[in-house]
Amino acid sequence: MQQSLEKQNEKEPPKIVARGVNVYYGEKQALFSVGLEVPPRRVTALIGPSGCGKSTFLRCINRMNDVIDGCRVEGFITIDGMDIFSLDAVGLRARIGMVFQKPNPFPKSIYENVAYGVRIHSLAKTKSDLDAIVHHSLKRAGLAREVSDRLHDPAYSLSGGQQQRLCIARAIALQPELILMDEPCSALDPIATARIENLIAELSRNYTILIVTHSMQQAARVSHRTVFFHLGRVIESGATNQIFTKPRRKQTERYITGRIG
Amino acid sequence: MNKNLDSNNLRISDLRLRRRHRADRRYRLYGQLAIVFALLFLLMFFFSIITRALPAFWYQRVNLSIELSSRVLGGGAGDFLPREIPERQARKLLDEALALELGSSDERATLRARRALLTPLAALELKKLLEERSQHQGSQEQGGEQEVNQGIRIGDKLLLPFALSSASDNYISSLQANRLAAQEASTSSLSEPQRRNLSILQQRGLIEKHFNFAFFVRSDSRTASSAGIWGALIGSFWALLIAFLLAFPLGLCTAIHLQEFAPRNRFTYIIEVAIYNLAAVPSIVFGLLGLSIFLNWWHLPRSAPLVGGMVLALMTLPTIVVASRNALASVSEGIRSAGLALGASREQVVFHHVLPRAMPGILTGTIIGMAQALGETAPLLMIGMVAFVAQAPLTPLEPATALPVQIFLWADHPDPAFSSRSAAAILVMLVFLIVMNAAAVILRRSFERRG
Repeated sequence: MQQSLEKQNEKEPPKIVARGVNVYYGEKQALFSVGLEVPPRRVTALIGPSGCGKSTFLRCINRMNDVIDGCRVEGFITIDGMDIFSLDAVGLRARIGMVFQKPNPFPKSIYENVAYGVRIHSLAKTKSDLDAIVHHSLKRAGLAREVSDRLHDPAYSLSGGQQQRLCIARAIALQPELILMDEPCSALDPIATARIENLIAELSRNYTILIVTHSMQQAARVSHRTVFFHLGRVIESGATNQIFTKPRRKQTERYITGRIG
Repeated sequence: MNKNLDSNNLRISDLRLRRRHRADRRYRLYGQLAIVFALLFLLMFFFSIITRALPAFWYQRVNLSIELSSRVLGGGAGDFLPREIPERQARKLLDEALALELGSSDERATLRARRALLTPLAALELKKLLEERSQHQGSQEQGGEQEVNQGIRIGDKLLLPFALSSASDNYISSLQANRLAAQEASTSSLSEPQRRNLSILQQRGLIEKHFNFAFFVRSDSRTASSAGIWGALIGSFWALLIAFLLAFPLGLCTAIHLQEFAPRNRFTYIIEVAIYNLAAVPSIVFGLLGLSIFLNWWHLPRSAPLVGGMVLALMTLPTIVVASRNALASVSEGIRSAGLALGASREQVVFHHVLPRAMPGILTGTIIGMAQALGETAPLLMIGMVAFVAQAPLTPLEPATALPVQIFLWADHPDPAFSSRSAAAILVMLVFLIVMNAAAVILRRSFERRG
């Protein structure tokens, strides 16, 4: 199945193209000439040891690095052929959903959390439109049944896994073209992790997903393609199958067999 | 041998463990002792303030029956009172009323001793009261109603209460409390005939203890019995209102800009350090600043709560900025990233998510700053809010005094009756401080519940 997906994939132009991306935090360089392509409507996993720059790269795509003092990004990143640095950062972020390592719902009600993005971008004309979007997003995130009778409870009353799914619902309420996930399961227990992974698999039918993960099992389970980062460089990228079974580079092999990292 | 060594180790660690536990207990004891000491001092403080303040909340008054005789006021029996009654006539009426109770005497010395039983303002008060009543009746006549019984006329008798002078008040209070020491202390300020007169009045049951309501609704006065804190309260209210209106928006905007928007560079760092240092500047320096800039340069009115409020605003500004910055900084970074990642602008993130989250801390800091300003005396002295002001200010531009300054003035007064008033004013101020701090706690709770 993986093979057929790969073939189908080749017909479409890549969703994201990055070329020669350098990132500096002050004097320190975090990414060295990173180049990679992300296929549309697939899950691409970024793996690598801590501090290798995978999260930094993820944050380049929705220009979240812009707000960090002393952070400088060089290079060329396009989404659907459009240069992201020529776009307005705020407008760009509205088109890209992001899920963080720690669940970070707003200190508001469950309903307000999902409705917030829709409100600030005026995507719903009427109250019933808004209700529909909120309900639909919660349903896509697999949370609707659990929270349908307490939409106006504070989001902090949910469990960690539920909060993370709420954050996913909040992201997909804006109908993004792309969802970035920065270790979305690292703060969750195995059961909640499994639910999020199922959700990722389901969402990948409609969305392009880029996920940073520390867990190689998770990368193997959820992703179609895998990119291996090491010390700020892309060492190898390819179909997940191939990376985990027949890595071309020595470093990749040593990482997936647990000798570096 | 190895085994031996092991058991030896075990024994040593056991010993050390016991020593560590002992140290633990010792430090806990030190902490508890410190708390006990603090509580003890607090208790002593409250006890001394309350016992000193209590006399100010009560006063002794004597009920005198005043005959509005035609001998003094002129006119015939049954006539209405004249619109204006000279103070001299009112004093004469009082003299006659006292003579009625104590036996008549025209000797000058006796007369003076009798007058000293009441406050020096008694005649003035009687004059005002009588004029008020006759005016009241006059307005009824204009309305066309002939209710003759309502008005007072020459020949009527009125039973009116008069406050005792502070010396006699003290004497009676100490008699009632049966405190010998106090009795002796006040003996010196009262002459023998005065003491005799007081005991006659007391035996006739004319003297009664009454709650000093006037203390809360009157302003400062030359005599202790009619001095109150209303004027100082209103002065403090205006000054605090102005301080809040100036310092809160200014401080909040500064904090938001520094914390959320300003780049971290040398310039903002200098500003930051300056603000922290400003919080440690002695308040009298702010008073000097107010004197030289607000009064001497801008020519704002002297002694006015407007200027007092401006000086207090300067003083609380750093407190508010620092508290607000801390509150903003304690909002988790995750909420900011979440907002930004959804495509909210930085302003939207701050005003929709960060600020509401930080509000409890900001309000707590602001209220604490305001409470600090309420108790601040030194800068107000510098800008002249230390004047004797017998009227509550209607606007923040009128001369006024503030609560702590009033306390300072009264504590310094030679008449001992003022020192109990000073303690009473301290109590009132403490009540306000407690209310403000409670408000801070309640506000924080209510915000936290909503979050």
